Amino acid sequence: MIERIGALVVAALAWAGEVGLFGLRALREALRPPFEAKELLRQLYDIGSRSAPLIAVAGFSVGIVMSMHSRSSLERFGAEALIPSVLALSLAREIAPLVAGLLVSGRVGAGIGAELGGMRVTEQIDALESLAVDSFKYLVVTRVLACMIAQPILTTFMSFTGIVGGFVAETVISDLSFRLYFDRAFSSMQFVDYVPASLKTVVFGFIIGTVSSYLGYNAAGGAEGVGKASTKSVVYSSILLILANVVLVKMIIFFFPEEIG
Amino acid sequence: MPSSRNFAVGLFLIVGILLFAVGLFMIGDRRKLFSQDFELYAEFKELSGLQNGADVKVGGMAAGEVIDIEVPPQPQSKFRVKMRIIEKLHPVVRTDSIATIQTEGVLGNKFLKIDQGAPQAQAAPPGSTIPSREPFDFADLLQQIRDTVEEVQGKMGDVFASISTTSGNANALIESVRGDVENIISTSRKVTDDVQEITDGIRAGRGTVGRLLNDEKVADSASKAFSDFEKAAGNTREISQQFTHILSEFQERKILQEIEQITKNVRQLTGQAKDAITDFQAKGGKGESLTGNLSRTITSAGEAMSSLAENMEALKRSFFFRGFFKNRGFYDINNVTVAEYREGKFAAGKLRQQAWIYETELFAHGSDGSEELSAAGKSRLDAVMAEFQRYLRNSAIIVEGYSGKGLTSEQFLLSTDRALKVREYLVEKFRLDPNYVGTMPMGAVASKDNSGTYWEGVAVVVFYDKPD
Amino acid sequence: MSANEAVIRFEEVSKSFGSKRILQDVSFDIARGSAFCILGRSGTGKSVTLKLMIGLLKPEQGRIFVEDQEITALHARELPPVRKTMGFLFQNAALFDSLSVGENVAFPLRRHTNKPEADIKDRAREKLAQVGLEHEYDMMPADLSGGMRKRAGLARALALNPSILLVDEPSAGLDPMTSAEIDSLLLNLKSERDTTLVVVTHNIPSARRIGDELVVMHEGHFIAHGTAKELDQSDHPVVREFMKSEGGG
Ligand SMILES: Nc1ncnc2c1ncn2[C@@H]1O[C@H](COP(=O)(O)OP(=O)(O)OP(=O)(O)O)[C@@H](O)[C@H]1O
Ligand SMILES: [Mg+2]
Repeated sequence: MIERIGALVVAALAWAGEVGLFGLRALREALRPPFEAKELLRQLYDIGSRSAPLIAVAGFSVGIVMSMHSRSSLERFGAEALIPSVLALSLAREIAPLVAGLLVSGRVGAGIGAELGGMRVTEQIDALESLAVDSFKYLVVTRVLACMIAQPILTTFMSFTGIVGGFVAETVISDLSFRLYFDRAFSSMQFVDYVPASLKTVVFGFIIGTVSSYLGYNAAGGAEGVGKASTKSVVYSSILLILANVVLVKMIIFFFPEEIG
Repeated sequence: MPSSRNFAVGLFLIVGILLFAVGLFMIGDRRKLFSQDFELYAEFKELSGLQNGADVKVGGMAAGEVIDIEVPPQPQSKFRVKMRIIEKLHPVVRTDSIATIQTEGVLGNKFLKIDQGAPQAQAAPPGSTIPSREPFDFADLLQQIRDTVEEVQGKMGDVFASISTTSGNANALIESVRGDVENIISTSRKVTDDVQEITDGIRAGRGTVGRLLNDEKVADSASKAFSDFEKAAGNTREISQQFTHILSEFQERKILQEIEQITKNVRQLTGQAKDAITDFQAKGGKGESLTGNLSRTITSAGEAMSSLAENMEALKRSFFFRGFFKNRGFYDINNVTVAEYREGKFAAGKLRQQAWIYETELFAHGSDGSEELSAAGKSRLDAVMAEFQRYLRNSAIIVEGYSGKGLTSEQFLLSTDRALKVREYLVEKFRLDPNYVGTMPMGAVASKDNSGTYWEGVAVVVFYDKPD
Repeated sequence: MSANEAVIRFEEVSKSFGSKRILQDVSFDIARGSAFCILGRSGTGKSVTLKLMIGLLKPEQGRIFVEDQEITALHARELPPVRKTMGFLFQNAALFDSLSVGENVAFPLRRHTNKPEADIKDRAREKLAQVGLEHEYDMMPADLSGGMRKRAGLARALALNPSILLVDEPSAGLDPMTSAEIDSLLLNLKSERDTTLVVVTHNIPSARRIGDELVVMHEGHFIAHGTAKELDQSDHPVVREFMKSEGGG
């Protein structure tokens, strides 16, 4: 039993190491010309622009729900005035990065896993190579980069649409102006709540892009293999993202101990 | 197709970066990152949770932030708080501006408040240390008052005993100071009672602590929270700390500072009185100046004590009444001085009905000279209330207390006492909303319409709207 | 080795997948401007051999040369220049299904030439016309028949005018007429552009028509190597069986 668990742990670590090297290779290759600008643009469209509506709707709903929750608990202390700032703080620090990360790993991770997996098993990746194209650079680097660029932007979208959602929930009850609500939302926010949390989503983007590209790029086993690559992309990138979040939060607290209360 | 795709990507990137920048700007704007500023210091023994990055407000305006907190090198020294303030506000920050640590809202963040200085003081030079006031602890104040009063009672007992055992012209002296000493002792008893009442009020979560906030609804939930806390914490000190920030409003109006100061005075003056007695005894009670000195000291001690009692009364009233009367169109009783009350400020535009009841109709005298409501007094009050019954909707009742006996301070005490006793009876018997029944110690002279007349006893006044 | 003669050269190449041997110590040369046909039963390793030539697979042992470059010793980054001189038709065509047929053909042109947009499209159309798909420029690969896809793949392989053309079963799934047209296209390339052809095929008549040299793969070896006539004389039972079958692929 213990042996089997040990073997499992070793296998998991080996897998993680391989994926890590794959990701590092993507970062290294990203710095070496030629740059696949056109393809990067196409990926930004697929991964970024086309995720924006989903993220916006999700952010809006999360904002409404969180606003209602924080109202019910803050009301007890007569601290309704704090609702916007509580909402904005939790959105910026944790909710938006994590929820946007999970949504993107669902939408984009599955997409990348399936697309690259499909290209692998139908020899399209080999075809690229045969046409003297560096398939890794063309397919993987662009996707990893696009994820890393899109993730903080999508997270920002979520934070802001969340605040708008909170405002809408609040207007039902009180007639606060948006300007005042917005000011209050940022009233107790500090750079250290906002900037590191946004930057950590670059890591989330890296994880989603790397894991799903790895699984797709190395897919095998026909249509079934493609399906597996797609599912695994979502599952593994979500799990890794959640684990990485723990480490990143710990790191942020370590580096900015006083400011984070 | 590719051009519309490029557009979508461009829009995505630009909107994203703009929004991020808006966030940075919102934070930066508050932090005044992009404007000129100067640095100041303030020192505190107790930080009450003030943190690096906390807001600094000058005259209520967000003015900067705390940028560093130096820990004291040894226990007696203070924390040194370094702050950054925008240059625009420099003209109102003077060398005599006082820094205090305050709380935003009920459970909000701590911030540093800086008073605007006096016009004649110079602008605080950058890098200088401005004066500060320690965070206020309400429980500490109550304890301090209680200690002082006990000490005073002890000392006065000593004074009395010493004088009576002293030979020479002691008898004359005893006569001259007896009034003052008795006054001090009975006043101190009243102070102790008030302290007790406030403490009980806090402990029971009763009273109107929550009403100290402006918003009625907030106040309701605050007092609910207050009793929750009370259950959880189970001790007054804890609770009163939770709500110290609510009391910062008192602090604004200086009542608490005043009480603190007066408490010190009382302590000091009674100390002097004790020294004077020792001196007096040592010299065998000889010498005119010595006697005069002693009686003067004791008189001032007595005055200080009654001003303490007056302030405790004000505190208690604001504690229990503040904010209530406003809602029904009455002027806040806490903000009305006796003089203003006489001028009709409390309920301008309301009709009033008044019933005068003489002292002997109301009170039976105990063996120690204290007054209790008599059975006859109670039925007299019942009759008055029966009369007032038809005015009671949406109205306030003020029990005016009168007494012309003794010094002004004694008059004040006795008139308060009489009014309170009547109020207590009325509230209990007729199940009146305690929040709408107030007291007003009038002293000796009856109110305007009976101007010039002295009165001994109470007047029950009901203020009501014109019937429509 | 003679530098200007052998364009592709295998030296004792071995390739296996797991325990399965595909090639065992195989050596041969392919001369410039010749047509080299690889025959063999399904699953013997013809496609694998073709992929080895362009560096998509690496052998465990042996060396492979293309135009005097030892591609088995090259870094992945050094392969593209070699590959630019080669065209590869995959057995399943391997068209990019996110691009239209025309864009599939234009893809290598866009990447490796600086031609203006109009020229690229003209060239792509021209290549499609050569395989009889001049009207299918804007169709998506998924909407094509298997044979059409195969031809589009050939057009893409021809886009950069490669000097070496590797084709995996070009006439599989085609009617005899189209198949003959493809054969003459390949022969044309050989005669007019001096293109070296490596053709994997099951179609023996076609192999006879275009092949200068034919090999038959069997159990990891080339059991026969020579002209069609020489192979007809072979006394190896498998080869004889094969040359007699005449079956189209
Ligand atoms: N990537 C791979 N991994 C494992 N085995 C492989 C791989 N590619 C090919 N093989 C195996 O190598 C053998 C030769 O395959 P190959 O595709 O070269 O056959 P072929 O001769 O082209 O057959 P066909 O005429 O059917 O196309 C097959 O048994 C196949 O299972
Ligand atoms: Mg094959």
